[in-house]
Amino acid sequence: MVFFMQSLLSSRGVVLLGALLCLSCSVGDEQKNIQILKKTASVSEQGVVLDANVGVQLGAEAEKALKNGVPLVWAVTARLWQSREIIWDEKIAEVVYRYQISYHALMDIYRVKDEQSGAENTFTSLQLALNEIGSLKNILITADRSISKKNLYSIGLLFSLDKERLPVPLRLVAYYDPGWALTSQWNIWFFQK
Amino acid sequence: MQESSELSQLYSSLVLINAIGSVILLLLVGFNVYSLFRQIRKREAGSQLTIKMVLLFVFLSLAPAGIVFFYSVQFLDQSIDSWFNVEIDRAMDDALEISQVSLEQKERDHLKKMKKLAEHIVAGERVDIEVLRDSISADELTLLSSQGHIKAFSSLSSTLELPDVGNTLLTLGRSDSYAGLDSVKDGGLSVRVIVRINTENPQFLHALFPVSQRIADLADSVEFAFVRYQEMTYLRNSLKVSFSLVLGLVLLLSLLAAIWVAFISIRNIIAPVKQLVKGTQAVADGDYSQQLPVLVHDDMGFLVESFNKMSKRVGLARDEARLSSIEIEDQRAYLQTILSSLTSGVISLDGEFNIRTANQAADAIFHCAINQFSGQPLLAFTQGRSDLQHLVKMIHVKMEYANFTWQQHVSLLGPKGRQEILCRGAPLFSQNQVRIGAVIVFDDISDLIQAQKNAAWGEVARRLAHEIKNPLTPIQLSAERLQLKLSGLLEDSSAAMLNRSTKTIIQQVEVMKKMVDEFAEYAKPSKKNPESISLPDLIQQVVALYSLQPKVEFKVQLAATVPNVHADPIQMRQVLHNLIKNALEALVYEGCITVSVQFLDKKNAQMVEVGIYDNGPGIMAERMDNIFEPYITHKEKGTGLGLAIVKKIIEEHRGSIWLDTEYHEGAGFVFQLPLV
Repeated sequence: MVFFMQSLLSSRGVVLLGALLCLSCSVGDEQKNIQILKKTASVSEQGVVLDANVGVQLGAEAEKALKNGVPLVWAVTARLWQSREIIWDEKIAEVVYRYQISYHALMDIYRVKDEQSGAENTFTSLQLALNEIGSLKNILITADRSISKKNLYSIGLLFSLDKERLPVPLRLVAYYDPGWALTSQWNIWFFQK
Repeated sequence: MQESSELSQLYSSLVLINAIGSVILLLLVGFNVYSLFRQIRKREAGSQLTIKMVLLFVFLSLAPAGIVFFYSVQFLDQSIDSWFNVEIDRAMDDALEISQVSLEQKERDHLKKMKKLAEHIVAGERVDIEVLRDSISADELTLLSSQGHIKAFSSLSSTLELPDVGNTLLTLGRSDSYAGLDSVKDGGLSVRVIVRINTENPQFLHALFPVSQRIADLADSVEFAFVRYQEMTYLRNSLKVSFSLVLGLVLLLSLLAAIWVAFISIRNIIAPVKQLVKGTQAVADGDYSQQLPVLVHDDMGFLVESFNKMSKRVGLARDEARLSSIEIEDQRAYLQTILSSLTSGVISLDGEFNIRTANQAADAIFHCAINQFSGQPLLAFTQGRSDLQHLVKMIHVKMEYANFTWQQHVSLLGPKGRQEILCRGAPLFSQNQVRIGAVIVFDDISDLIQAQKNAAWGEVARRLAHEIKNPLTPIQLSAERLQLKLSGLLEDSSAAMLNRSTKTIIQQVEVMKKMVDEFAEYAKPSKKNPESISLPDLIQQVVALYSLQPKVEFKVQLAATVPNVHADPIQMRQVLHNLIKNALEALVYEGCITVSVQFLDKKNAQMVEVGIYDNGPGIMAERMDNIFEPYITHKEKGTGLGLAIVKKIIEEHRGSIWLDTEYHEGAGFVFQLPLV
C-alpha cells in the first residue's frame, strides 16, 4: 500500500492516475501479457544491480501498430526502499530504463534499441526481439554500495509499455483500450545485503 | 518542432486537465441547475428570468460552437482522408517491393557466389581467406567452425574488429544458407550471406557484401517514406477519433464554461432585481423602512435609488397619515370624553335619520342604551317605549323641515316619573349645502323646574308666615278677650254662643298657626345630621310601629346584603312614616303594604333603592303629574305637604323619588339614595 502510494506520487504517476482510475476496472485481466518470470538482485562492484527475465507478449493491437511502423518504447522501472518499522519505507533510489522496438519493412526485421547506451540489435522475428527486451541484465538501481547489512531493503520492478511515447493520436486509445494494457504488476521483494 | 514536441509530451496532461475541468464545471453547472430548479419550485423572484437567460446563453454559445465543431470534424475527416488514396498506397507498396526485389537480386547473386566458393573449399585443405574474399569482392569473409568459432577472417576494414556472429548462426538455424540485408554501423547497408560447407565436420562461411551508398540511400528513403505512410494509414482512424475527442472536449468545456459564466453573470444581473422584488414585497407588507443597497451605478442602480426614494416618501406619507389619524382619533376621543362628560344628552344622526352616536347622558335621560341602535333609524329605540314616540316623531318633523337650529320643550312620563325635556336640534349641511345629518341635544330640566317650584313655594311659605301668622295672634287674643269680657255680661244662651264662636276662632287660629308653621318648616332649609344608617333596620323599626293595624298586612322584602347609607336617621324615619301613612290612608286601613329594599350597582353608581307599594285604589292619571307638589291633596284631612316633604328630604340627600307608573295594582313609590 505504501509502495502504491509512492508510485502514484512519482513523475508520471499524476498523469497516469486519471486514466488508471478510469480504466482500472477494464485492464485487470490483460496484465498477464507482461509477466515478470524471474528476478534477482545483488550488490556488485557497480552497486545494486538487478537481473530479471520478463515474459513479454504483445496484444493484437500493439503488434498491428508495430507492424505499421509505430515504434514501441518499454519502460523498466526499478526502485529501492529501505524498510522502516513505524513510518513508511524510505525510497533510496529509482531508475527507469527504456528500450525501443521497431519494425523495418524493407528488411523485414525487428530492431531493438537500448536508449540508455544507444546499442541496437536486429532480429528476424518478433519473438526474438521481445525475448531480447525481456532479458534484463545488470540493471543498475543505485551505484551507492554503502547499503547496510543490518537494514532490510525492498526492491520493486515494473515493466510497462510507455504510452506517453506512443504517437499522439494513439495515446488516448491506448489509455482506454484494454488491448493496450501492457504493463506488469509491481513486483516487490525483500532484499538484504 | 520543439514546441510541438513539448505539446506532444503535455498532450495527456492537457487532456486530463481538460477532463477534470469539464467534470468540475459539470458539477458546478449541475449544482446551479439544481439550485435554479429549487428556486423555480419555490417561485423565487428572478428564477424565470434566470432560466430564460441561461437558455439564451446556452443557445448563443452552443449554436456557433456546435456549427464550428461539426464543420471542423467534417473538415478534419476530409483533410485526413485526402492524405490517402489507392494510388499512393500502391505506389508505396510498389516502391518498397522494387527496393526489396533489387536488394534480393543482389542477395541471390552474392549467395550464388558464396555457394560456388563453398564448393571449392575441401575439408582439411588450407585456404587463403584473403584470396577467397577478393575473389567474391566481399567486404568481410569469415570461416566459422560448427560451434561458431572463427577459424579464418578477412576484412577490408583496417580495424581488427571481429564480427558478431552469435545472432548469425541463430538466424541460419537448420537451413544451409542465409542471405539478408543488414545495417552497418555507419548507417549504410550490407548483404550478409551465410552458407554451410557440407563436409563431415560442417563449417560455415560468413560474408558481408557491400551495397552501394546510392542504393542504400534510396532504399532507406523508400523505407522511411513507406513506414511513415504506413504509420499514418494505421493512425488514420485514431487521428480522427483523437481530433474529434479533443474538439468535443473543448466544445464541452466551452459550453459548460459558458453556462457557468451565464449563471454567475445572470446572478449578478438578477441580484438587484431580487432586491427590488424583496423591497416591493416589504413595501406591500407595509414596511416602508426598506432601503436597498445600490450595488452598481447603472440603469439598475438608478432604478434601485428611485425605489429607495419612493419607499422613503411613501413611508413619510404613511407616517404623516398615521400621525393625522392619531390626531383625529385623539380629537375624536377628546370629543367623546367631552360628550360623555356632558350632562346634556347628545345624539347625532346621519342624512337618513339613522343614529350615529349618542352619549351617556342621552342614555341616562331616556333610560336606555341608545348606542346599541347605532346605524338604525331613530324610531328603533322607541320600541316598547310609548312615552318616547311622541318626542321622536316631533324630532323627525323638525329634522325634515327645519333648516335652522330649533328648540322644543317636551314633557315625558318616563319609568321614573315625569320628565321635562328641553330638546334642541341643529341640521348639518355639507359644503354643497346638502343635508348630511343632524345633532340633537337633550336636557332634562325636571330638577330645574322642580327647584324653581320649590323656590316659589318657599317664597309662598315665607309670605304666609309673614302676612298670615302675624295677624293671627291679635285675632286669637281678641277672641279670648271678647270671651273674657263679655261672657259674664250676656245671657246664658248668648254667652254659650259667644263661647262657641270664640273657641272656634281660637281653634282655627291655632290650626292656621300650625299650618303656617308647617309651611315655614317646609320652606326653610333643613338641618341634617347625617350618619351611617342601615335602611333595612330603620324600615323594620318603622314598620313595627304600624304592625298593630289589624286589617293591614305588611310585607317587608329585604335583600341579602344592603350597605349602609349616609343620611339623617330622623329625616329618613319621617320619609318612611309619611309614605307608609300615605299608603295606609289610601288603603283606608285595610289591605297590604309591601316594603322592599335592594342594592343597585349601575354604571359606577351604587345606591340603595326602597319601594313602598300598596294594593289600594291607586293614583289617578291626572294626579300623577303633580303628586309631589305641596298643597296637592285629595284627602279630607291633610295639608298636602306629606309627599312634598318626602321629596324634599330625599332630594336633599341627593337621592330621587318617583311614582312607579308601571305598577298598576295600587300606588307605588320608589326612592333611591346614593351610598356616597
